[in-house]
This record gives sequence, C-alpha cells and structure tokens, in this order.
Amino acid sequence: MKKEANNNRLRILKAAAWIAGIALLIWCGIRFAETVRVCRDLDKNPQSFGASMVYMTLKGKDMLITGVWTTVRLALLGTAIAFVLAILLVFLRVQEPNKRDKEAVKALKWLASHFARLYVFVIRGTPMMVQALIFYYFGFNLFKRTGMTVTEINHVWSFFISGLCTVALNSTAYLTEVLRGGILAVDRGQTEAARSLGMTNWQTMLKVVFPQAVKNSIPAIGNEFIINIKDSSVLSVIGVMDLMYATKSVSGIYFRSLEIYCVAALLYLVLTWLSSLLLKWLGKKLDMPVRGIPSSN
Amino acid sequence: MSDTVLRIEGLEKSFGELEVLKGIDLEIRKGEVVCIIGSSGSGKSTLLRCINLLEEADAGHIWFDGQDLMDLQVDLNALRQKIGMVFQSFNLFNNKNVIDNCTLAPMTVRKISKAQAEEAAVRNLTTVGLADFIYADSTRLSGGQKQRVAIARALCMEPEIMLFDEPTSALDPEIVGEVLDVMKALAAEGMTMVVVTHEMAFAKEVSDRVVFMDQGVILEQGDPNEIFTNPKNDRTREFLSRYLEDKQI
Repeated sequence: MKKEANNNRLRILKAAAWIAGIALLIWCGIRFAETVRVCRDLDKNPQSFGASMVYMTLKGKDMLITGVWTTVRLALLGTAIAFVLAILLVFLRVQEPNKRDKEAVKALKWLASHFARLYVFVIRGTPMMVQALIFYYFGFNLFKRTGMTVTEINHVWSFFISGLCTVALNSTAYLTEVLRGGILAVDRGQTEAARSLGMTNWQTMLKVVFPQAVKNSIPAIGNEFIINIKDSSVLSVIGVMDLMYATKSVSGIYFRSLEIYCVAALLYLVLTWLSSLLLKWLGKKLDMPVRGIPSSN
Repeated sequence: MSDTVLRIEGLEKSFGELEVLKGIDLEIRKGEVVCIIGSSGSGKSTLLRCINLLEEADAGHIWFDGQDLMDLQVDLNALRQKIGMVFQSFNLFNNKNVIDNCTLAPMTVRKISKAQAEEAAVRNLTTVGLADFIYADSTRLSGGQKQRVAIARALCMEPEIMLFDEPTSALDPEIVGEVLDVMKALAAEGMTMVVVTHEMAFAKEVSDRVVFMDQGVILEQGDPNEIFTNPKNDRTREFLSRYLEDKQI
C-alpha cells in the first residue's frame, strides 16, 4: 500500500518536473527570440552578457560558420587521412624479426618497427601547437627554396593545408597505438590457425588479423575524431580559419572576449555532442560498443 | 621405412627454466591414428605444437615430406599446408562466415579458384554434417559445430596428416560425441592422425597406437588394447587407473 502511494507521489513529482522543464524551455525560447529580434537592429554591442553573446554571434555569423565548417573539415579529413597512414604505420610497428628470416629481412623489420616507435614517441611527446608551427614553417621554408614568392607559397602551402597535415600526422601517432591495441586484442589463436594452414605472416595479417583489429578499434577511432574537433583549435596559432580563429577575430572586432568565447565553447560542445550521437548511431548499426565524449589525450 | 609420414628425433623444448620436452622420438606411419595421452603439463600439446612449428623447439629433428622442419632454410609455409591442425579452442576466423573460413587458405595459399575452393568447402562441410550451416556466422555456432567447421577447414587444404590438440576439451560432454564421430569417420577413411586427447574411450576404440607421455618424455607406447589392459609402466598404470575408475571403459 505504502509503496503504491510512494509510486504515485513519484509520478506526480516527475510530471511536475517535466512541466516545469518544458515551461522553462518555452520561456527561454521566447526570451531568446526576443533578444535575437532586438539585437538584429542594434548597431552597438549591448551591455548585457546574454544579449552581447547573441549580438556578436549574429554579427559575426559568417566568420563563425566558416570557422565551424573548417573545424569539421579538419577533424573529418584529418582523422580519415590519419586512419590510412596509421594502418601503414602500425604494419611497420608490429614487424618482429623471426629466427627464420634472412639477415636483410631481419634488419628491415627492426628498422620498420623502430621507425614507427620513434614516430609515435616524438609525435605523442610534443604538443600539437608546436607541431603545427614546425610543419607550417618547415613547409614554408621548403617552398621558399624553390624560388616561389610568398603569395604562391600561401596558395600551395596554405594555412589550411599545413593545419590539415598537422592534424593528420598527429592523429596518425595516436591511431597507430589504437590499432596496435586492436591487433593485440585479436586472439593469438586466430594467427595460429592461419599459420597452421600455411598462410604467410603477411597473408595472416591482411586477411585475418587486420580486419578484426580495425573492427575492434572503431570506437576509439571515433573518439579520435571527437578529440580532433576540439584539439584542432590549437591550429589557430598558424592562422587556420577554424572556429577558434573565427572566435578570436569576432572578439577583436567587437572588443568583448568572455561572451564570444562562451559562444565558441557552446559551438564546440554542440559539434562534439552531435558527433558522439552520430558515432553512437553508427556503432549501433555496425553492432559495436560505444563510449561517451572522451577526454582530450 | 618408406611409409613413414613424420619422424621426430630427439625433440627438446624449454619455456625459460621449465623443460617441457626432454628428447622425444616418435614415428608416425601413413594412415596411422596415434593418440597421445598423459596428464596435464606432460608436454603433449607442446609436442603437437612443435610439429608444425607453432612453437619452435630448441633441439631435434622433425622429418616430414623428406625435409627437416627444424632446418631454418626450409619453406615452412609450404610444409605447414600439408599438416592440418585442429585446436582446443577452435580458432575459427571470427571475421569470416563458415564457408569463407574454409576457402580462405586454399585460395590464398594454394591459389585455387573461388569456385573450386567453394566446391571443396561444401564437400568437406557436408562430410562433417554442416551442410545446412554453410553461410552461417562462424561466431554464432555451438562449440561442437565450430570444431567440426575447424576440421572441415583443415581438410580443405588436403593435408597429409592431421594434428588434433585436445579437440573436445572445450566442449560439454553432450556434444563431445559429434566431434568424435567426425574424427572416427576421418580415421576410417585412412587419414593419418595424431590426437592429443583425454578421451580414453576414443583412444582405445579408434587409435592404432597409444603414446603415453609424462614429464616431457614418452614413457610407453603401443597397441591400445595392450596399454589399456596391461600397461607395463607403473606411471601409466597409475594414470589409467584413475580414468578406468571414473569412466569404466
């Protein structure tokens, strides 16, 4: 009896919370629409915090949209390129010299594995911001030596291209380790079965281990994509017109920082949230486990 | 002897400090079914895994097909495809369905056409009684079914000898029979088989020779009736008496 009464009370409480929540949402919506309407006609940054946020977002919307689009492209293309490179690099990484290999093969395998180790060691051990600057200036100097003018260089080795290289090469290191984990997670018996049937090491890797390793790694690869949405913000130091750079520009034009950075935070949050929803949906379709929004490195 | 398929001489293997095989000599003749019995840790599985080099032995010789597998120059993959292996934990390729499990190695190693490989796969899957599961997801089969697929997969390479590493140990007692039946049929067809097993009834009924291993050496080997009814070695008698009490074979 008592339990039923409690359940009823709980149900009423829940309904009340829903109603209150919806009412709050409607109120916020109305206030927001009102602010937007007012701000659209203003030609001066309003004093009120919220209104200023809306004002600057409206005025700087072209820049912000370009920024969001650039950030999305950086993360998407960067992760995709990194994935391809990581597959190559992890193949080098897992080479192990075998007693039965010829001396030259042994040496090559050692070299391959240690090259991959060094790559991961260096890239993971340095900040992406520093990498971005190094890649940018390295490319710039390289093109300069060929006698190109600055305008020409900016065309070929643009901020976006060098930024994309940074994201891709940085993610390659992380995804290499992700894939290596995926390979290690494949049961040893799979390799043994393939080898016992006379398949070579290479055939075993290609046909049996890699496909399973990649499947194991898909949730972590999705995480890397979300991390890239956030971490590509450091590319603004070399002038990539990403969301961070756009935010800085808007802040510079309208002399207000806190408000517009809050807008940037909200936009990043929406991006990562949408991405994780998308990954969750993909994961369900592919029948794979999914984690929440990951922390940055 | 010309009908010898496999000859092992003085095989030794250690894992660190632990000496697992202490000089094994064994000869397998064509069409022979040899069961290796012995308590856990006696080195039976290691011996089997050393035969196709899944474990690299430290010393000794493994003569197969006129070549010594312990020779570092030998083409290991070419020899391995003639030695079928069935594992305790099945080890079906998780990323392939049943028929692709069977066709992968014939197509990549022996380079035969897909049509040919599939024909052989269907034939072998039918032999092991899985004609209805040809396109099934290999991860969703029962243990007994998985092991039968594994046997069919090995058969698709047309091996000269089949190694079975405790093929029924991971199965529950009710479905052990279906795998043993397949193995019996295989033996009846004349396949050369080396079986590491704890199924004493199977060993007694099917094998031509029983090898008893203990602490890395072969203590006794011979006709199954001889070994099971009148073992010469004390250790063999002790080991078998425990089984005979339990199982009444």
